[in-house]
Amino acid sequence: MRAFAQALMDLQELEIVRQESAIVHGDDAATKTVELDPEIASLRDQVPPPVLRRFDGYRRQQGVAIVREADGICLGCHLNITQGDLNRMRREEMEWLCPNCGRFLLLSE
Amino acid sequence: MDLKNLLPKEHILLNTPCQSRQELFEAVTVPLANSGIVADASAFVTALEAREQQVTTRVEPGIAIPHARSAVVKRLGLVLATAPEPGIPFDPDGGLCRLFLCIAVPANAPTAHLGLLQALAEFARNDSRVERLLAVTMPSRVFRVLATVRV
Repeated sequence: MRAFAQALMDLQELEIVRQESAIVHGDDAATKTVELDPEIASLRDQVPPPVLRRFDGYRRQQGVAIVREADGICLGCHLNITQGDLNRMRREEMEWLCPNCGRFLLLSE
Repeated sequence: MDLKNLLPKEHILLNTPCQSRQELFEAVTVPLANSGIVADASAFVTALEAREQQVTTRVEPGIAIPHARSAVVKRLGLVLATAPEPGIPFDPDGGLCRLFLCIAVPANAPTAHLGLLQALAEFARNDSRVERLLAVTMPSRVFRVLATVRV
């Protein structure tokens, strides 16, 4: 699960860089970001399609699809995640999703 | 978002004597660190350089909008810097830049700056307004030129 979450975090970062380039470079953005395309494709290949579909949906609707967890708090919505839920996520009995905002979580080590 | 809140006078560096991109990144990070926006100046300079390695933030002609997301950034921040003629070499293509609009983005709000970036990029494409900004000699006058920027 951690590997998927890290891949999603890296993917989100590269997609935001591409968004930034579209804003800064306008019509030239595709040329400027062409070097990012293989890395983005490789990251997308590492994630199961249903997870990827949900990730893309969050990105479209909310901009941010995955956030970090620290000290039991989702750093996207800043609400607490119960210790029980965190334990279940770490044991991989529960998806790494914030129970409050629904975004994917990258749990702290 | 009010540009005046985001860009206090201390965040305006006119005719900065920097000779390189690295020096410029260090210079623009100082006010961000002094304002408490950046907790670790060195880490933020590294983040700016890493972001630049991914895709240049240089906008034609002679303007760059360097920005980086980092865990050491506590809230959205902006620094405006200008360089005297002929400008600072900003990327390997040899482009010289004289106007820099540096954005610090918190890692936990990775898209918080996109509206600001859009507004600054539109400003940067207006040659006459950029010329007026480069001619400014006092930080207090910068806001008159930036008055048209809607964030």
